[in-house]
Amino acid sequence: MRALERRWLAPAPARRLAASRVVIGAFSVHYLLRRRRMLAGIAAQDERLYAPVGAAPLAPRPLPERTARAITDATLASGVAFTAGAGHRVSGPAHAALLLWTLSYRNSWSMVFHNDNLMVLHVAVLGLSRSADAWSVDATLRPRTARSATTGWQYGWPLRLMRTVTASTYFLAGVAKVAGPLGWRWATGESLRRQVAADGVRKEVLGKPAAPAAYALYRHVALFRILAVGSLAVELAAPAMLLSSRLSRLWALNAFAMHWGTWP
Amino acid sequence: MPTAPSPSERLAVGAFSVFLVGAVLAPIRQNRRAEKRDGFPLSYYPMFSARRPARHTVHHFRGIDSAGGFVTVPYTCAGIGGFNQVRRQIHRIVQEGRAEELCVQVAAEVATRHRLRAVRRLQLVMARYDLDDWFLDTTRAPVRLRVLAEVAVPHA
Repeated sequence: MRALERRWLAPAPARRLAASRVVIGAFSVHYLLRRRRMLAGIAAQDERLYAPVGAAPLAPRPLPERTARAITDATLASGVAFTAGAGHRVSGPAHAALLLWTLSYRNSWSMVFHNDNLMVLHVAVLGLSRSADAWSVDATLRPRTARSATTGWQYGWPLRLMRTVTASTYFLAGVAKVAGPLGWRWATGESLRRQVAADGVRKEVLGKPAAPAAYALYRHVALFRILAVGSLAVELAAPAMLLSSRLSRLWALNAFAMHWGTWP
Repeated sequence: MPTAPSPSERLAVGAFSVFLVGAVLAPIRQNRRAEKRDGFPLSYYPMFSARRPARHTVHHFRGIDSAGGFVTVPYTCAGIGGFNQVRRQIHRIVQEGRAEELCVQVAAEVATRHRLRAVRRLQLVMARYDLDDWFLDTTRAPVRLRVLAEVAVPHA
């Protein structure tokens, strides 16, 4: 237990954590900006489609469009401050809470988008930790004598926590596949192949072109078997990446390849 | 020189870390439940885990022009939440027995779309497609089709 604690609280450079804040914060702002109109507009949908998830049950009924727009804009503003590291003691927790709210609300209309989950969880960790002690407006404005150490225990654990959360989510996705109706037969690739095909058909009949790769690859059953085995390996082996930084990098490369390969 | 964390700091970091990882892993229980329930941002990540049959059923709209030809009506006429959300919403509305009501709403939207000006009537259908036919033989006709609702498009 002591060894685990020592490892969890091992020092890391402040800039490493700050870099995560800048990259993930910028991504969250970009993500929201691209969906700003939609995020405000979903409030005007049929109230009967509203099924609140996450933080959204705080509003048992859909919000007025004007309120939804104001919250989206506040989330964007907090995201900019969070990314810049301006007033992090307020902007960090505020962006974490507002992002959780905005994306909970977005996911409360009959479909949960799983790609939003890790962003929300990572922003929560960064927003509640000292991720703005470097590369930030706060650090620039602080008197030189009051500046924080460049390395410390405060900057390592949030990165380890984000890594553990990431590994946990991939592991859960792998477990859901083998615990599902197909069990380990999921690895034959047939289900993945049909999933990609069904997605293509849906898109075509609903007026959105299917990915050309779906047509090119559908006949190659063996390729889907390789992708399925690879996906399961990446997901179920995700906790192993926590053992070393080298394994983490190797896993990240494979996870990237998996997403690239299964992108419909 | 880095300082060491105080006991209260150790406790706070430890408690937060255990709480968050525990919360993320907690939905794993859903896999054992008959009635599974997904959440956000804590999920058991069921995507891609369902059994997929060789024939796929989908609810969609199709326009009919004055010559009786079929026109693809984009999902954007039915909602603004993105492709997958709108698809799920159409399915849910059909399950709730409100196909006619949705068809009327979408027909009103179709009437405002310049690219769909040739559409005279609108159908909401439940169609079953054979995936091999679609991708290997390029046969796009459904193997089974049921018209759930049909309305006139109220062009001005």
